[in-house]
Amino acid sequence: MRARRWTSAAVSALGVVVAGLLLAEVEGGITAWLTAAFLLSGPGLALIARLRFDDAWVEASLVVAIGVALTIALAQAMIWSGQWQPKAAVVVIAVVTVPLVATNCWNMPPRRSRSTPDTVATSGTKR
Amino acid sequence: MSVRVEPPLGTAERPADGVRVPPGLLRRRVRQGRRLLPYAATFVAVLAWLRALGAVDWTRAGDLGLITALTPSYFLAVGLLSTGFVLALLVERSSSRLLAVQVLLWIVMLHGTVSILQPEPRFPMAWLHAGFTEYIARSGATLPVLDARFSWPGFFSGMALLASAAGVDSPVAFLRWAPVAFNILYLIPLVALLREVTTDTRTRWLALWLFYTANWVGQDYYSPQALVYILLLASLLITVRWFRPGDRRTAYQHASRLAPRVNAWLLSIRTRLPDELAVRPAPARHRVFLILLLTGLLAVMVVTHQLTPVSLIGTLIMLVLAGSCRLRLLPVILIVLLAGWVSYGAVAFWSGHIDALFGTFGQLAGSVQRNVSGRLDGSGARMAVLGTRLAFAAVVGLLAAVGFLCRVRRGRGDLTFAVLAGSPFLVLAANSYGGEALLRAYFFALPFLAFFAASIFTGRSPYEARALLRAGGFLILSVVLVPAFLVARYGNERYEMVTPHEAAAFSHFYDNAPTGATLATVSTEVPWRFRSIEAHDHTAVVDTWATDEFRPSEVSDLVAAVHDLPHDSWLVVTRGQEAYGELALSLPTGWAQELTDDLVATGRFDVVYANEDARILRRPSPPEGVHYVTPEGRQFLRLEAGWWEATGPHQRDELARVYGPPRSYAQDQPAAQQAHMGSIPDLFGMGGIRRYPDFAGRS
Repeated sequence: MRARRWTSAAVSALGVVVAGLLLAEVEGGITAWLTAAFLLSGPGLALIARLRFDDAWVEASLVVAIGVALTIALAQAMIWSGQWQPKAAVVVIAVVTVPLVATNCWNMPPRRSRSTPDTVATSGTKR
Repeated sequence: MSVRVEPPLGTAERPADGVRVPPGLLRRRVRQGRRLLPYAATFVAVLAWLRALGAVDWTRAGDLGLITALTPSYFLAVGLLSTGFVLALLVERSSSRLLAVQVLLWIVMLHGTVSILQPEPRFPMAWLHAGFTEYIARSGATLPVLDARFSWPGFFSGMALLASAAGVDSPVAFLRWAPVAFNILYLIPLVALLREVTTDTRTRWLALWLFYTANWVGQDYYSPQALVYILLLASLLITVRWFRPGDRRTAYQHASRLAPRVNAWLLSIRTRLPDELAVRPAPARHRVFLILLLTGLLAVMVVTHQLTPVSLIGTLIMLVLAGSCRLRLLPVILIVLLAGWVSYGAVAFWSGHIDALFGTFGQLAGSVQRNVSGRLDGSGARMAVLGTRLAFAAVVGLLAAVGFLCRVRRGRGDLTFAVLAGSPFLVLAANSYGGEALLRAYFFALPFLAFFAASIFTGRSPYEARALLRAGGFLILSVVLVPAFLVARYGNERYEMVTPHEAAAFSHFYDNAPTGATLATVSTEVPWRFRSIEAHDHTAVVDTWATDEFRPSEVSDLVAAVHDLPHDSWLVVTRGQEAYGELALSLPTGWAQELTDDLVATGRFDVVYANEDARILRRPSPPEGVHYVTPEGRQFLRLEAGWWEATGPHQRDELARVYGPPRSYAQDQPAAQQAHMGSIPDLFGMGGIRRYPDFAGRS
């Protein structure tokens, strides 16, 4: 739980930093790597943090996959619509994502017990 | 789950004379000392690796690639890290943090050393992908008519968004560290997937170690397939974790209605090969989200890479048939998405490549031949590299088969993972993919092959000696596989590495060549098309991707091939092309110098740029002239120095290409009659165009 809060806090801070760098027009390699890290983690975390998957590795996998997919989908949407505004798009993602992620820092429901139907095993070995 | 390995014999305390040692104290201290061994081995490995980084001269890579340039310190480093890992995992049972650090170090040592050593990003294809990204970042559009890969623009557009937002001058900046970044990103879904198949942490760690050791395919460069691999693993994770049937008998209900005997047969297989871990059905509140997410991931995959969705279709169908996927419509959804995209977004590609797409469908034997023996061509060293790759894949497959049998003996058949390990190879029946389908299938199957191979070394045994034997066996395997990995992965380094001089030569072209100029090379193994891809024509004499690939055997063949390059062509000959010519085309040593000398001797080319590793020859622009057509249909070129007639259709086309559509001679007759005769060099080098000294008199 504590790790999840720290992760949410770190990703929120990363989103603020990235938005700040882009608005201040600080360009270059560092900005690119920070933006990549934010796009890979921020949108995914905002989407699935409240679903409360009970395995951190599974959650991290989905976060990264969602980040990749959303970035590509957004870029394609801008190309198809003829509205190529990458900087504005990333800032908007940060503005939407950061509050959603940040709320996880203090508004976390308790982890559900493993005896819930989510973990019912009907064949094989229980983990 | 696991058996504690006792300390080896011979560690009993021996008190010194006159010293009273409390019972068990020395044993405890020896045990504490032994626990430090994995840490010490890892620390010394890092020191040896850092020393190797300072000592390696990467430019000295020989015919077998990078391995010939590496120093003993590097091999000491990988040997020590392997030892530390085996000690930590199989002997001392150290913390997972140490194991994680060791795996990360392993990734960096195997897949990141080149990124540290070489100042320019390696692998020419990555530079081309940077050019696609640069075009989208600059224009906000794709260009499918220029290159078929623009028909699957997902990766390029995503990276263009990143580059453009961050204000990166050139996406080439992403190339150097892309392999390390991708391999680290793969780690997350790999761990998650392995946690779905076994509770044995040793098997998981060994499988990770083997995955990175056996991943010689080199598909982790800056490319669509590297990024889509993350989506592929995530999709399989969702399917395997949440959408396996919970009950063996319900898995085949759909089959029982159609074919009871098939159902009974499948059920018997599944009963004999049960998965070790139980399914964890998704709760209702997650199910809709997961299905939507899965569909979204598949859609993004479809617009990003050609082959990955095709391979995934085969895998999903096999999972459904094996009763390992409850979402029986999932393969249908993917097929519809793929068909929809190909019909809409990839028209520019398939309209001209129907034969390439479906010409080899169903020809499994032919496809295997193209992927195996068809690739074995070139010098002895290149044959050795290609042979190492095939042998490496065969060894991994063999180990996986043995591991699978080991697990069956232990009552764990893991049918789901067996399907995931085998089904990617079905793609061979669909398309040979230019002889690369086998490599890609191996890459798709590798996580699951690695899992089964790792299972050989983690059986439960009450005997300490057997456990130590397994640890020793894995250590030997790891140490033996590293040189094979280096040859298989970096065996083509002589022409896949890019030197700063080569990069500078191509930058010189893009900085100085006028729009429309042709950039010509002998082979495609060059760092080109990384910017302004639409502003110039690019052509390679030996295009390995062409179906009718030209294979020169002598320098004279190359001279003849480039002799007629159009005016304002820039021919770039580099060290990498020279190496490719020697290794893959069996051209004589020094052929590049001979080629440039011969071309300069023809008087058609001038050397306009040269450095240690590259020379640029330019064929000058054509002289000023006017293209005429007479009322009889004869076509002439009037230059300041005289009149020339184009006597064949090809020459007329060439005149029209260079000078535009012909003007009517009758309208310009006075000007034509004033033209004076003179001597000019052969203009087009074609027999069909001849000088016409008394044209004015005849007309």
